[in-house]
Amino acid sequence: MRTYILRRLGLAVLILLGASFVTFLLTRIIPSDPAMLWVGRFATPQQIEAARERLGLNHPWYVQYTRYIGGLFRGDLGVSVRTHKPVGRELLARLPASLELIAVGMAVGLIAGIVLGCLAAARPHSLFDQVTRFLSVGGVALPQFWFAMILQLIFGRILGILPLAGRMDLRLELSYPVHSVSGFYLIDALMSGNWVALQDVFLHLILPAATLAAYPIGMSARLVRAKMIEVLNEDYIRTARAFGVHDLRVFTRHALRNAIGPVVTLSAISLVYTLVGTFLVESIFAWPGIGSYTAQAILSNDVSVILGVTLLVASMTVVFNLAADLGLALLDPRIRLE
Amino acid sequence: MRLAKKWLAAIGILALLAAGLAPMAAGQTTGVYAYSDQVLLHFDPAEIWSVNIVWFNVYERLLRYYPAEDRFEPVLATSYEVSDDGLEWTFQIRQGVKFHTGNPLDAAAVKGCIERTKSLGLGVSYIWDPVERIEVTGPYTVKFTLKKPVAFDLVVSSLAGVLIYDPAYSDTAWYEAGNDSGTGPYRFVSNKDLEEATIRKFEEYWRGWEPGQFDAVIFKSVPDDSTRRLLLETGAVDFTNRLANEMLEAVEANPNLEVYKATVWTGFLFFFNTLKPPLDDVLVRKALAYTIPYDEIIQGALLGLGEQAHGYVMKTLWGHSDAVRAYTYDPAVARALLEQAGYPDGGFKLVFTYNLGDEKERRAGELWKSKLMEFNIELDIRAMPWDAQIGLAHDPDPARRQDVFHMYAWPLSPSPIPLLTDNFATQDPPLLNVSYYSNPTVDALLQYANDIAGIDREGASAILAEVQHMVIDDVPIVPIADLQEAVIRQASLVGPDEAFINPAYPRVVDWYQLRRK
Repeated sequence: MRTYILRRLGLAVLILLGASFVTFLLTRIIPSDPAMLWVGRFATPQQIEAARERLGLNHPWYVQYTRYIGGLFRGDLGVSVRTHKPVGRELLARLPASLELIAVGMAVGLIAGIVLGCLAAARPHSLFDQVTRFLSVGGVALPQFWFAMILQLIFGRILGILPLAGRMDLRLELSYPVHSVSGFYLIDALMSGNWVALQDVFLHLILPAATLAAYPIGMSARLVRAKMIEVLNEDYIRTARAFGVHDLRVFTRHALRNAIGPVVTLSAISLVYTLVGTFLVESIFAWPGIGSYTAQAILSNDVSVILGVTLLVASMTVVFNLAADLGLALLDPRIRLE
Repeated sequence: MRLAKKWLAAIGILALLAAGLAPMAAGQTTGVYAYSDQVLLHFDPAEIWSVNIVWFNVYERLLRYYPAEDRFEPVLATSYEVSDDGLEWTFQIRQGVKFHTGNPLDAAAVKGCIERTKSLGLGVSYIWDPVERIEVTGPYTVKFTLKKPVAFDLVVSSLAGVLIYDPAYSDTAWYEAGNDSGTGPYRFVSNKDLEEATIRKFEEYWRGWEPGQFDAVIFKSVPDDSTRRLLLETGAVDFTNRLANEMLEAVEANPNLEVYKATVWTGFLFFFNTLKPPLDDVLVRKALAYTIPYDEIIQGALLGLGEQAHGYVMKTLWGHSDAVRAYTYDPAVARALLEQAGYPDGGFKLVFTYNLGDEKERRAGELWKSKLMEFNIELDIRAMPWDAQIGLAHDPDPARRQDVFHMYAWPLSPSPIPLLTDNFATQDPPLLNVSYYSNPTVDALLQYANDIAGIDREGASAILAEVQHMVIDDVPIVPIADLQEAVIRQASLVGPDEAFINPAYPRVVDWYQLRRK
């Protein structure tokens, strides 16, 4: 196991280097003048030249790349040409907001998807099964930004029961500020006993988390349904029922455990998809996470941020996939990691 | 059964969380501005290079300019005198004003902060370049001696670079930590990752306070147009600087919202690459100017929020002249000019770049493209981020640069001279003159107009009109339209119009002047 993990981590370093190199090259192929972005429209030639010097733009691209990699080993992801702040610090500041959203969205998505899949498998070809199938396809096929806007329109505007944007009501936050310790507002509000903020934060999470949950619901419901139907037809399940084991116990203790494997693998893929999905979702919900930050960086060709986020997403992909493989091995002793 | 009870309990807790105690509103005296872009960038007032929606309410200037009346409002200066030769400007500084730091404003502080701004050389500090020296001639009297008689009142009321702050606080790190040393009605309270900022009432503000004024204002970055619209419609925010033009009709029908439109100092321009064939030929440029469907662009791309430009100085900005000719869509004239230039059948391709994500610019390009097809001219339209566009325009090889650069233009100060200088004056290497136009006569006239504007505004205006006549004939840049902006607010938010839109200070709201009905 330890060898396997070390080998995977070693491969991960190569993957990250490759991703950084390709991204760096792409950003250098596109004609750009980050110095102009740094100093603004009305800058003098001297200010532009000073910015070029400061950003190291006067060096050949391979020198710039080498310096960038050297900085990475020191934990320095460079400086955003748009905000003038260290990229690493900005990503860290925004990461908890995104992680909170992703965690809630994924949790809701996977749990709901598994439950729907199980229930659909228990009643194959029924009306419930058909509806589940329809929801699954919709969850995967519908564009997230469209779904987000529809949720805002229905629940925020027409029904007026859920907030439209942000992590908290802006005016309420003045009176009941959340003292950020972890950056996860739910946890911080709970730990400080700020019940008003906790309620408001929870309400603000609902729509964006529901948007992110759509895809994992769709994927996991279909997968669990198919796998459960297969497993439920196995001899040992028939034997368990013949021995009078309750249906719920058959589902949860015997069938689900054997059907859950693909979902674990899927969850790693879903997590990465959800992470990238936050770019649009956060922009629409004005959620102050890395997604909206990245969307702005892409539109303004903020190279350092684009590189930093690429490395972050690549790192998380590697870690999630490794965790999924390890989790699968834990769940199923038949799997040997080599 | 036990499991079912656990599930029921969990659902009950969630329901309580959702329904629960109704949270108390933070008050009707908190304003909320949903902004379409990043809310903050710089914190050091010497570094700010553009007008900012937050800092406008925190820092003040010596004077504020109102273009509708061509009027200067005394702010931190109560009055000023100009010598006959226009080289000495003496300002009386307002007494009884405190910085947010607690220190008093006086002539020495004004001199100190301007000298710090100049010495740092950041942002648009060069705006003080016309100043030869600054003297404190009394506790509340500052005299500026200029190198040339420029329009110094316009300089001190510019949108950036002229903020007055406490020079006793000169460490940029102090400002970056979230402190401010302004004199404005509000003091800076907090910032969240540059996307949300809060300011609160400064109790000792020199104008004083009346009941009903806003105690606090929150600025929130909300990039998505439809989200901003929904936030306005639900009353979650009070104001936004823009919505997609297509939404305005529906929003105008909402009795709870007010859409206020006004001409702003933003030009909608096509810059031709005058160093690259065939646009190095003035006949081709003129021909192309006659192929542009101006009315269609104003109605189709701008959805009516603009009017055709006459010259390069926008309406309501001094120096504007309706006498400067405007090109029209005239295919017959275009064909004749193309034939004269040796392109009777067109047969060339132009690379047209515009700002990625800008729907107005994209549509303008598409509309022009469809017209150019009638002349057998291909327009290759490319969306690019701003710095990529400008990077391409700054390529050392003119042949590699784009042929047409679609760009907005606006002035740094309430004066057309910097605007025209940025766009036409010879620049080597090029900066904003991305048509690479070079005309020594124009350069000389612009310089002369700048040098006399302080003592002879009318004379300067006449020179600028002449400059525009010359340039419009050479047509390195085609002015398509002077834009209008539409800002949207809650109908309950009341105040003078210039508190919502002042072309001299785009996108800012003067929250001190507002009340909630």
